[in-house]
Amino acid sequence: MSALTAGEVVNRIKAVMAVQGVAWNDATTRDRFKFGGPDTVVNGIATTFMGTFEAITHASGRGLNMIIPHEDTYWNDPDNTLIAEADPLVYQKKVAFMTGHNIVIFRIHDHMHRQRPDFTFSGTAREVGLDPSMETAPNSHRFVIPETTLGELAARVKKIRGDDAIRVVGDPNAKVSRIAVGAGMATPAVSSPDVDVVIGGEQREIEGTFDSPEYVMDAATLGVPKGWIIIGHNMSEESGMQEMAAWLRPIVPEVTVEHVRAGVVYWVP
Amino acid sequence: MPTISRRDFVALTVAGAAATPFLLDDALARATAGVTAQEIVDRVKKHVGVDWSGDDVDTFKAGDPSTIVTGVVTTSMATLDVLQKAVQAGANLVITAAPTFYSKADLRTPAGRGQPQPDPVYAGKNAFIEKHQLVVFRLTQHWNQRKPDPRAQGLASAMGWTKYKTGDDALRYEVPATTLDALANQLKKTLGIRGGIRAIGDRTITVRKIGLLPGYTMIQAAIAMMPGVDVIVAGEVQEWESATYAQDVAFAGLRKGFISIGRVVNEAAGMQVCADWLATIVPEVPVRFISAGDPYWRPL
Repeated sequence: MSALTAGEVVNRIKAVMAVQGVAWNDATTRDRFKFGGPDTVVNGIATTFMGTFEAITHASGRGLNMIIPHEDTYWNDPDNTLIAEADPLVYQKKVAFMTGHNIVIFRIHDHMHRQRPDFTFSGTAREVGLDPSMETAPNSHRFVIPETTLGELAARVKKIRGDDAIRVVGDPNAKVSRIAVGAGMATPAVSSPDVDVVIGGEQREIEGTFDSPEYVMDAATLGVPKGWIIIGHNMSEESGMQEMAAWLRPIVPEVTVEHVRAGVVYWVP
Repeated sequence: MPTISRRDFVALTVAGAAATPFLLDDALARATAGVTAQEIVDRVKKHVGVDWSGDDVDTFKAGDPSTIVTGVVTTSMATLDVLQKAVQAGANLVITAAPTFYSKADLRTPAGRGQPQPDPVYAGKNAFIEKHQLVVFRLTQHWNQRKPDPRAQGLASAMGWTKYKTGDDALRYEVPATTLDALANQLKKTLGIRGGIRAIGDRTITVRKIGLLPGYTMIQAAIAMMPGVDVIVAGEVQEWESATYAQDVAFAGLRKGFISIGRVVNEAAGMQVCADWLATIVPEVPVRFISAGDPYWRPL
């Protein structure tokens, strides 16, 4: 049996995506090889949220040399290595590790968000305890739960996720039941009249295009029941990389596919 | 109006700015001098020390610029809560670092996502502004170009770091040795942060050299600063940029840390400095700072 190459893995991903209605867009700067290339022989595959040094090291330790991250590897979205090369502390160490361990990295972001379901959303909903039966329509990312308070809902989300750095805006006593789930950067509009709470990843604090914590703060002052539960970019998309690993397994039966966490980003004092 | 001391600033921040009303007689007496909001803004433009380029950010966001001003409040963010406290304090001109209407566009009516009108939050805020004939002006792009950066200057002052400044660089301080964990807790307590502070790196490492990245910064700023410091204290960064970089630095075993205090909390420090400065060019009316506090809390 000939060895499985990274190029073959990517060709199969593109082919299955196409069958599932997601035509490959070659113009993307995101979904490309970020280290290594199509000729690298694949011993095992790790999906992860981000190409962190930690994720790469842990994957390699498990014998998985092809990394499929959802986000970037070089600390900027287009993965411009000129930006990373300016760093004298860790960039060369990371590259040396990847070279020494025959790592190949292929990012999957834009096309993953075009899949239905978008695993970043369905993974997050699963991870924060929102049952698909509560979704208003398939892939609506809107859930209706029995009425509770923002404080109780936030505590439940934190307990299920287990991560500390969850940030909440709004009156803890606000009565809420209609949830909009977001993933990654940019949150669904909390101002929508049919949304009480947004559970989302990351949003600019004051200069977003649409939303800011200020809207929720003012809603609290006015007694309008609204809430914002910001679980972090990592926490909002890492779960979906478990779904991505499950999606990949039947496509590449020759090798092991595992999900490896990119690491806990923040701790809190 | 005496300038507000560091202790007052801390107390205001911690208490969410419990407002002490200005003396009514003073306010009336000063109002007869008749300085308008437009005149105050003109003085800001003239004296800020930064070229006032035409832009659509630092502009009036609500109210009539010809309004006679009874008192000025500077704030990190003109939330409805801050506007209420400003009114209680007898002020009618609010100068804010952050937008007033929830987005970069800062428009008084909802725009962009086509939700049906009226929006109860926009409506409630507009009604309060109209009832009390408030004037709101955003001052951020020009204010934050001042040297030293007012957000760094205000943060260092609040933390008692000014005497530890590295040369003339208001972004760098060498403080007595502490741990990353202790520093994060000290920032949280002193700046009155609730859930918005987050940190990366080994909690037990010793830190002395602190680098500040005020406001919102991109990855290039973190890469330029990290080699020369033990810890970066930033306002706001994107998770896929500087936060991941700090994660990689920490994972590689370099004894360095990263702390994000939050953008609104960081802007508060700069607007405290702004209140002190405004008082020197607007002697007719009282000027004070009211913090919007930390927007975030954390579930137990």
